[in-house]
Amino acid sequence: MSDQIESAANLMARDYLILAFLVSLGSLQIAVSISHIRGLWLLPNRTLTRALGIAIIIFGIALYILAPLWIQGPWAAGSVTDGTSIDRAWGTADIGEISAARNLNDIHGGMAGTAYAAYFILSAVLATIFAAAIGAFNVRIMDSPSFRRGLGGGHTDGLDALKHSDAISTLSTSLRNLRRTGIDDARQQMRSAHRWSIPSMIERMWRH
Amino acid sequence: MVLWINGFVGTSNAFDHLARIVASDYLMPLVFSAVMFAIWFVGKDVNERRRYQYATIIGATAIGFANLVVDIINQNYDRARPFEDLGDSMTLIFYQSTDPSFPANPMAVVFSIATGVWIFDRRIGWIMMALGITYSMMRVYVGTFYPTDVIGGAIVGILAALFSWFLFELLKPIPQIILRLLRGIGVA
Repeated sequence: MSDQIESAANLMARDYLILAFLVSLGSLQIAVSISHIRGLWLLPNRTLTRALGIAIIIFGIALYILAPLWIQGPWAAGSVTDGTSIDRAWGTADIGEISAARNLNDIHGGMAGTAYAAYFILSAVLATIFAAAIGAFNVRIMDSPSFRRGLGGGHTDGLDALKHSDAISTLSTSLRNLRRTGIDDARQQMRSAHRWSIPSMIERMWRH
Repeated sequence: MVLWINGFVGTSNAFDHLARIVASDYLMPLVFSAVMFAIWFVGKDVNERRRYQYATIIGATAIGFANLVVDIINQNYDRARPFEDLGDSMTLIFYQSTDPSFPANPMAVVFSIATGVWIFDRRIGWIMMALGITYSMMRVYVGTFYPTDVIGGAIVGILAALFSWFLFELLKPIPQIILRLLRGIGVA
């Protein structure tokens, strides 16, 4: 029984990682298409990028829910009819039991809340790296040189710079700007802080 | 109340399937997390984007506080699940959860995120609140929580987000400096 729980846990973790990656990637595509951050687009066109984002999310969720129909797991047909996760047999699910197949208690091979959170963070990071890599390919290979005109006076950095260039090109500019203006920016933020902000109070105490 | 809501189980087979999916551990928390992640990138300019990034920071911090509060309450008050208390008088169409029923942890998490977003964007925030209420009702419908559990969880989540916001304001300009550092490595 414990072997089956371990196998179920591994299977659930793997499948959830794929789901979270696809949903993160899809939602990222919708967000960057809204804010014109071209350096993270998977496609060179804004409308297509947003449509692709929606399609990736729907595909990811549908794949996760329907996969028990062809992937063997703790959801064998006939063992999940009541929706509970006790006494599950190993096998493929029946279409009539598909809604309950993934509902597994963490003591029966499901995932705990902390695992969901950890896998989501990992997926979000991977989705961002993936989008940055494909975006760089789009900008460098697919787009015209005018798009890669660069960063002007060097004032544009961070995600804003990705509206005009790709992640690889902008990283050095962002780092250079941080080195050049980072301390001044921090000082300015400190000056504009509320009187009752803790760092501001500590600074005032320090000065007096 | 829980018997009345759960009494509709079996009326529509299609709705029961939908309820199992909506009430699941994987779907709604993932949708909320994905919105929280995506709004990090939203905004016409640096200032607008920074507001949304504050929402992400407050939402993420609130999840931590909400889980802490739920954990403390759970250690001091072990309320049985409705299917344990009410037995055969209700129909459980979900797995038998083994942790304490009050307050509902999933609701604390989703309302933390929804409130964190609501503080900075009312429109998206209200939509997320509505989704959170739907999720809560589905959890009661499938028989895994009492209505008071989900209300308790929602209150914990909302208060956790408001506390995170208060802390955020109190610690300014540290969050802005962290965002400036993240902008320096190209991710904010």
